[in-house]
Amino acid sequence: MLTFERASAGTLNHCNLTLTPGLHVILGHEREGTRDIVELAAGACPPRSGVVRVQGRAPHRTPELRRRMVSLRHHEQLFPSKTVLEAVRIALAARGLAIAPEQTLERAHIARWADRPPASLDARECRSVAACIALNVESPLLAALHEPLAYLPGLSAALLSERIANWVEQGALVICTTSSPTSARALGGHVWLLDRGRLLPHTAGASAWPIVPGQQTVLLVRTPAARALAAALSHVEEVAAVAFDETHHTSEVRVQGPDPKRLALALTRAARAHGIPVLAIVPSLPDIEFTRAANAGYLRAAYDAAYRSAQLQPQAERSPHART
Amino acid sequence: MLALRLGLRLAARRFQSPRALIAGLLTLGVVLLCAWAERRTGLVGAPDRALSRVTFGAALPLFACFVLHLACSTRRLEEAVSVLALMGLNRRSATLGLLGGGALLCTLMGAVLGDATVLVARPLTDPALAGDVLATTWIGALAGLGYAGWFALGSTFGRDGRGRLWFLLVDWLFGVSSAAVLLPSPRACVSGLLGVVPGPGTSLMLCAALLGGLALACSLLATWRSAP
Repeated sequence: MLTFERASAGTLNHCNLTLTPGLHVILGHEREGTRDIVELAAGACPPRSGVVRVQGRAPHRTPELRRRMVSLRHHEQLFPSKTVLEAVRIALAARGLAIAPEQTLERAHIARWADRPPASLDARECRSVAACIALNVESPLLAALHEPLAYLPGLSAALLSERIANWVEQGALVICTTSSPTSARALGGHVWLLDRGRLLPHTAGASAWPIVPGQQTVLLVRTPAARALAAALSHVEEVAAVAFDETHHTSEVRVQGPDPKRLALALTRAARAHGIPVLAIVPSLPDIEFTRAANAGYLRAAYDAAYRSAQLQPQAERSPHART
Repeated sequence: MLALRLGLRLAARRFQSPRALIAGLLTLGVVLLCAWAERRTGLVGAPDRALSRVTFGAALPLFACFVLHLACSTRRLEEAVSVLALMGLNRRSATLGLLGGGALLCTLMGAVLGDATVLVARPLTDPALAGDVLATTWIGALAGLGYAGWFALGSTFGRDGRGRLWFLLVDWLFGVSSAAVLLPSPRACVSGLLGVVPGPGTSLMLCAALLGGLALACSLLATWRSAP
């Protein structure tokens, strides 16, 4: 179990959270402290104030705990050896992993960097090598990963996703931070929204996208006959809006509707009926600002509803009908 | 043990930079030039003046400060070994290894600088040259060790280990005091060892013990101030 009690570090202020084993995705801006959450959870730095505990112990002060944890930070450092291969060898040996470094790099498809000096790698490439080392840990106690599906050149996202799923199956606590709602959706798990240092649970419910309450589904359709598809969809009941930009995006149509499944089926049906080839259908998620605004609006509406019902209840008790 | 070994290796890798080589050569060049200038000014007491004013008074402290700056990779001592700490190794053991590397380099440089100063400032025909070189070797080595420990402790203070500069300032400001016993700074101890500022009760052995003890205490305190 990971616990933050009024933990502050970097731009993160007085963060409270308790996470149990499983996959947790924290969606938020880096300037609000997503990277600091990973730093604190990994034990890379002590909290400026407050307490951070993993299974009741401070990761920053417990080497045994850190040995059982993996992390992928915003800025990764490799051991300043002569080559990347040697740096990987040292990292694996320090963790007590009896795995050939060549095999590790090969599996992650970054074997071409083996002979390069670590100093020649840019920040994103360093992250890739660090992720490649982390992937070798079989059953970690905790994995703290910052942007696990982005800024990792050469590394396959599928490989990482598969490993994360594997860790979760083994009972590990995996905490991923990201600023992209698309990455959050791709990662799955329990999504938390980091809003001005506070963690809000995601507001899944009747909304189309669990992390963006009240927002209708938007599908991006790629087709060579975009105008024809837009025309065909204009009469379909399940479609609430169709957008087609003939000037800038000649082969794209944005389709919006309340129900994702019905929308996709209606879209496919219309395309088949009119013989329009569809190259791709991609769900389009709003950015983090919109996500946060939608959640804030949803929470405000929930608060107002609760407040109103609380006010109405005493009135109902006072009314003569309530007494009879 | 692995953390200690990797800490030492980390220090060695960080010292294998052109900046370290340039700093070493520059320090040696300045020391040689000043020793030669002192000899030109007056042969009597030239080695003592060169050693106390330039070699152990300015060049060695500055070089040791730079060595610790390099070893810590321009950060605080605790953060300097975070690459090893995140692999699950003990920070304190890794810090000890890192400081061992820094102390070794400072010790060697102290001995080399001291010997080079004496060899230039004193005529080669001087019969006391051999004895003087021998004495300067151990004094230089001990001074290097003392400064390494002193700046290691300084590296645990301030943002990005800027406490090193405060410690340099403290050494320069308070090290001129004749009473090494009252305020044991490396400079005061080295002055006592060279016999330049003989204070009350500052015998050669006492100064040597003070300097060695200071190096050990500072290193241990610096390690203790790091998280495990």
